[in-house]
Amino acid sequence: MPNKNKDQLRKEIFERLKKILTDLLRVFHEEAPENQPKIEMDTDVVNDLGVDSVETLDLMNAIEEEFNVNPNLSEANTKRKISQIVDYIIELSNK
Amino acid sequence: MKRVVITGMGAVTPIGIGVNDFWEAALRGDSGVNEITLFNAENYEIRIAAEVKNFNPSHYMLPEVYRKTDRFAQMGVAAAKMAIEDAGIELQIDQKRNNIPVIIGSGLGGSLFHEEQILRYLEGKDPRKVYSSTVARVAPNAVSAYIAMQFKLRGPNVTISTACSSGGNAIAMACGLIQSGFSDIAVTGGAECPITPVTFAGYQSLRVLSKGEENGFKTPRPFDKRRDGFVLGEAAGILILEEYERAKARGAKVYAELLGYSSNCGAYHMAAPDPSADDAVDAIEKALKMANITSKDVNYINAHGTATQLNDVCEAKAIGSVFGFGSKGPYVSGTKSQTGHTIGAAGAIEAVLTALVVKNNIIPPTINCDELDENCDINVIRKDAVRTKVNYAVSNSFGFGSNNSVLVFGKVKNETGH
Repeated sequence: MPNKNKDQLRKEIFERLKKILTDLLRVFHEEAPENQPKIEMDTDVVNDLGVDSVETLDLMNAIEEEFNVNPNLSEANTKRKISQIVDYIIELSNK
Repeated sequence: MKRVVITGMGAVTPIGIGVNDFWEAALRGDSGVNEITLFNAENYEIRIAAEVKNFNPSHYMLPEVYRKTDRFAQMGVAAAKMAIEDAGIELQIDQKRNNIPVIIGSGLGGSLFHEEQILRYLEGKDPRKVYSSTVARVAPNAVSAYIAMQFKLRGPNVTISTACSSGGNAIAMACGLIQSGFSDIAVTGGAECPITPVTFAGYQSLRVLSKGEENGFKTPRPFDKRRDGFVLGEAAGILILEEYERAKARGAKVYAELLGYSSNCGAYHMAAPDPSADDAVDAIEKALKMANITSKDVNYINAHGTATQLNDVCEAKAIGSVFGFGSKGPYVSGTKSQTGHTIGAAGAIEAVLTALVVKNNIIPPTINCDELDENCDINVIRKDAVRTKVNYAVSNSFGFGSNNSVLVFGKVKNETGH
């Protein structure tokens, strides 16, 4: 059942990525949960989360460390949906 | 030289958020001092500070903007938003093309985020742990930059860092830009959030902080016999300065006229004032000269009044020698008795308060000053607010590095002098 394994892998990577993003984009001294980032598979990190070019670097560094992969900046800049980033991480891990 | 008036103000302070709350709390004699909640101060000798209570940045900026900013920049933007709305100038700003300066004081910049990143690095001595956004968040000019971005203010964008006189110096420089005709409107003030583990420890080690209730009394106590230092505070204050004719033509509400300023350096010591007080005297006299008034015209002095042994004696000496000693001198009060010492924001929130004194003819008290130190023989208002006509007022800011700034405020007079 290779498909099920792949789904499971995507889900697992999504959860780890979500934690990275939540830490990275957390709002200081903020109690209101509605102002914390909402992260789903179809979330667009630029349009929905307001991630800018500087935060992209932080995100790449964190992904590099968490998944032990080596993302390429110009390629990473084209992956804006969470699902695309998850697939990119899988692709990099298989290299 | 063009005339400069204050047409909008905003304040985020330990005794109130918003100019009205700040003003009412000041008149009541409220204290902003509390046990530290912003970090765990269990191991600290000093465990009190003057924190801003219930500050919610989401009321003033978007979450994806404020998560990229340190608390000091958030407070600066919040106060700027209040001031710009108060002045009613937002719709008048040509967002694509304007020359509006943003000149803000901040002594320390983004201390909190800086310290957090240093701790991340130290955990494993791993430079990769440090966020790429560190420089942008920590930079003192993040506050002036974010104010400009939010309101599209495209003139000179400067953050002035002269410790405790940063706010005063920022307002002085902005005033000069309008006087000279460079711009007819300016956004200026100060922002500071120094209640962070390492910065606070630095002040504690410097032995300038009050032990307060541990010593059996309320604190801080400017000009009082038993004063034992200041209480570190956080705040932001922003003023909209406008060229007089422009303000008049649009029928703007005016708080006060900013008649003069001075900025000088005692060239003496990084942390102690010159005991001769010659530099402070010089700063006050130069500001009065620009304002074209004499010391006898002044009805009120908003003192720097940190409640350290050295500052208060030197400042009283300076005030006394310019304006006269004893109860015959003009009224003096120390806002830091209520707000704590908010470092780079102090000169700004005190400018807000002094402008309100001139407008309303009421002077808030200096709280905790139970017994005036005989070495501080000036006319300190000690218990309740005093109602009296205030035509001219002076606000002092004396910073580390012997860095002094003095502002002179007055009621707005028309061309015939009435």
